[in-house]
Amino acid sequence: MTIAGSGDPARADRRVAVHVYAANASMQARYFYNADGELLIVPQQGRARFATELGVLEVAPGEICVIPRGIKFRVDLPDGASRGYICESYGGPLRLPELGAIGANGLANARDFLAPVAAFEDLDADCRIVAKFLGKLWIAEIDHSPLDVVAWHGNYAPYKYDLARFNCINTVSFDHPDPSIYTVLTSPSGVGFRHLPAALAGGRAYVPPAVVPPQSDERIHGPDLRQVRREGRRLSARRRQPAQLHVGPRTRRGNLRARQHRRTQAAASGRYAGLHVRDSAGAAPHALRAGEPDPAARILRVLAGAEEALPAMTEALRTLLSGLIDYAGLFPPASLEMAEAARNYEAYRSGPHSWALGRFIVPSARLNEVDPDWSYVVLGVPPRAVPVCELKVETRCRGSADTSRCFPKA
Amino acid sequence: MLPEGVTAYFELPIDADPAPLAGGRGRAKVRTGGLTPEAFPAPADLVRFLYRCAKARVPFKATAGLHHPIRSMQCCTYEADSPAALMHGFVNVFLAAALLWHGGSAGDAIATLEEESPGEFHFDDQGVAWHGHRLSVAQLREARERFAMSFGSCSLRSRLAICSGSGGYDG
Repeated sequence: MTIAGSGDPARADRRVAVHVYAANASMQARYFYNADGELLIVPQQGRARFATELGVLEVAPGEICVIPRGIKFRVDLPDGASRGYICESYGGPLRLPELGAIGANGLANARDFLAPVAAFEDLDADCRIVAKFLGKLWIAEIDHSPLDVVAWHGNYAPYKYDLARFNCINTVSFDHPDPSIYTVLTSPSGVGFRHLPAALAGGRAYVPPAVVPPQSDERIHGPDLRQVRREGRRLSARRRQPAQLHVGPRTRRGNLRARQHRRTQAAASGRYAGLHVRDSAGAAPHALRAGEPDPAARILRVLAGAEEALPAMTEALRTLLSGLIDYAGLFPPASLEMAEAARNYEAYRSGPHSWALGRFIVPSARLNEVDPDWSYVVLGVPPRAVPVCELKVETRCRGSADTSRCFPKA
Repeated sequence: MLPEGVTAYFELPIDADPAPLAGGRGRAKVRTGGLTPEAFPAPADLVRFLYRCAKARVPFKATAGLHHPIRSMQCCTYEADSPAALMHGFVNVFLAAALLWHGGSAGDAIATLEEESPGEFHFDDQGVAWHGHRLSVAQLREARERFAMSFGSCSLRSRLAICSGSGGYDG
């Protein structure tokens, strides 16, 4: 019973049908082959034993089996009854997806696909061959079993695969590139004859996947895609030519990629011209800090980095941050010595980012150590005279000031 | 009570009401972090404090924990085994304060505090725009001069590393 489908088997162009099967008897003297497409069979209950021209495959639930177009077979049911699903693919032969960066580290491995050894049955009897051709079933009667192949070679053969050997892998955090997480086998569209005329004409409209790795530009987007491609691949891409992928743009869907990079790119960074690069989070902060015993001294470098990141330190940002940061190098987590903190503060004051620098924070007990020319904040215990104060009172005086006048005596 | 030329900041618990400081020379100070993850106040608590300060027109300053321009997960101390905390960003805090000073709602201020993407804040020479709000340079200046005074920090590093887009500022 067919439950879903797309396309016309007569057109044999990358379309698919999904069937459900249920059987309670083995095939006796009946054989089947499918001239329309390849059958991918997924037993869900009960084993199925496929006696094919090229050998016997026993497939249990949890395994899948693929019988190519035109291979004759008979099905036995060792468990009595069986049911499951069939994917009938009219397109190119099923194959492993391009693994790209996954390499040998995930999805299905070629070595786990099992093909049968030759087996034949010597049977002279009235047999019927059922063929599916152009969506119809046809019957032929012969006087012997068609499973009479004693040896074969090549790679056009049925095979099976144990799904337990499949390793899901993908990046799903912000994108969902091909191959998708659960892709065991794929029959990609657009690889077949779609671009044959262009390929024969020697044009560049179609560059075979072998020349351009399929994922070569899946991480590339943005307005300079064409240029990036051209530079990266040393190919001249024509104007408005879609990005070259192993999967061509879908028919009647417009040029997906071209449309995508006409969209406004939010917060595009000029840093990597058109490349989609995710900056790593950097080394763990604690590792950085452990490696650099003087964290406070890195300020200037970071400030310089900020200006680099911001093409222009805008007026608004400057207003927001101007004089904003009081320097508390004496306090945790930096907990520097006075001499060092003072040195830092002086450096900041005379540096290019002094505009963001506020006051120097000093505990009241060390007020006499501070250069009176600085603007500073005194952190002290609450004088009894001050009412609302709960924990600390902090006094502040700007510019040159007499320290004794600056801090109220408790 | 206080000598001439001295301004007193009173460090208040984050759930305290700074209204009694209004009108005098007293100003409020709030802790926005510390050496442990628990020391970092929730955005809603911090906004409540800022909201009360803005209502009462009490200038404030912040201390501790504002080590990064934008809210992010960071280590609390320089120790190798330091616990990590979701720290407030000083750009978030001071923009939220400026928003409250100019009559913004507490909900918008909380959203501002919780914004972790630097790309959401668009600074230019006329002002800053984010989340559909816009403040001019003059409004920012007024908020800075009259309300959001400063914050204390043990190092200036990374303070200005507002990265537009890439988000990869030096942590």
